Amino acid sequence: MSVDHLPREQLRALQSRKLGAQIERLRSNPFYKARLANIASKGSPLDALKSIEPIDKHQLLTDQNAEPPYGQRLNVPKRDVAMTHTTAGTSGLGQEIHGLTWRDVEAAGYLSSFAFRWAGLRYGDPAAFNVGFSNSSGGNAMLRGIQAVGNTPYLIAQAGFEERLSILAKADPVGMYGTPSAINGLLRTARDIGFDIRRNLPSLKFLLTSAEPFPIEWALRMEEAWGARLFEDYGATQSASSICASCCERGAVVDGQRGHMHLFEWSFVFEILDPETREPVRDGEWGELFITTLDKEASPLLRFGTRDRVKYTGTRCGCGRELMCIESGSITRYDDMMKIKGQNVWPADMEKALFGLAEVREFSGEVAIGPKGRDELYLRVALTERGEALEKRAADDIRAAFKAQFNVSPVLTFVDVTELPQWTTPEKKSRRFVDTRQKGLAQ
Amino acid sequence: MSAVNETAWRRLDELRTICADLAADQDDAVRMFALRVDAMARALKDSVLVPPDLEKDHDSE
Repeated sequence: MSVDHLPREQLRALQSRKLGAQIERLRSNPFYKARLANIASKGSPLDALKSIEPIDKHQLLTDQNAEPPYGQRLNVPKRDVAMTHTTAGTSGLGQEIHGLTWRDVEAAGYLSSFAFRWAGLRYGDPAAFNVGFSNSSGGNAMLRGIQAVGNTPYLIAQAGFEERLSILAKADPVGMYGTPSAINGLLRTARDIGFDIRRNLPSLKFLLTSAEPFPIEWALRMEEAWGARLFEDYGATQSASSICASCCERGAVVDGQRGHMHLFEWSFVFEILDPETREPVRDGEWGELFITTLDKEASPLLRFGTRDRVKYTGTRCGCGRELMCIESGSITRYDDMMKIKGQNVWPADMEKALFGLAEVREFSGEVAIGPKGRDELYLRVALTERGEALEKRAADDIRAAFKAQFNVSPVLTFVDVTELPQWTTPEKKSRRFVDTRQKGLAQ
Repeated sequence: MSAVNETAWRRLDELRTICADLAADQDDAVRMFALRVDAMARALKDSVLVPPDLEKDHDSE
């Protein structure tokens, strides 16, 4: 029996054991001491966890600003911090700093390796690594993930897109890791220069992606174009600086529907809670993901609210694992929500609607105050080809999709792809929609 | 828990005992080697293997 195949009862027993030990380790920690004061040593740690006040990004930033660089929550001597990871800072609130001991560094690799193993990487297999390196957790954890099970990670993110394709053709990897934007961008370049992906990459059998949502139609197009199955993993810098969920062998799309990502419950406790009521959501419902680390030594977290909006899909999967699952390809941020003409709209949902249309190649969106002083959604769209007939058909498709899904009628302009921002730099999270209404209102 | 998994768990514990000895060395490089190998062993146990006593504990409940 491997740890990812534990029956639920044994999984809960393992979580309970680890959580009890984690709580005892944190009782004297200045950041957690008050939070744990009313938690008894006896009884079920998993029940006790529910009474611990959740923590959020603001509290972590306040803590580290008061006692830089790691905050009072650091639970090892500073000299035991082997590596640091920082969050991307895309929230605009500031960058969190998380410390890792050598155990945490190695664990990040072992945990991340499950994503590669489930996608099909085997002992000694080469894989291409299409993500840049920085203090962000994704690069380190995922590279170590390849090394924990396979071999020879080809680093290609430092090269231009044509050069990346050239390296890939020589390396002939079994799989490639990269963001949807980067995978999309590589395919676009391949088509522009006449690079035959299937002929040049005969061994490629999986694409592993993360960090951005994607529509089913896009996933199917990528699988067809690359001749490889698509998989997705999910992670947060806070989740022990590693990934903490991944698609199983069944992939990101199963029988034309979104697949599951399995949460790594043997090393974390996950809660998916309604953001208003803080009650657990039911199978099929959306909620905010809360993470409690069970093994992390340097910067452990109890009930951290990620602000990530996930769809809970239960604990049953055709693969036989009994881990909690979330829907693949649809994770967004609660912080990203825009209110357009009274409608709650998430940029990721608009991206899905646009990339779901085969004729759309790239786009950018701006929510601004229009000439009549009201909200307007302006879309600049580049199509796969130019032409009046195609533009007319695309305009009809886009307007129909936005009316049906968001009850919003966008103002459309068709442009050349070179006139739009390029989201093909894999270390940057794509931001295709901006909201300039504050600026407009100030004028 | 398979016998293979249990054997790996036990052998990792033996490795950790060796690392504890090496951690007392005067040479910083040797000490760091011991620290990192010990960390790898613990990380593997935490992240990949099932504790051998989990099923026994669970069965006795």
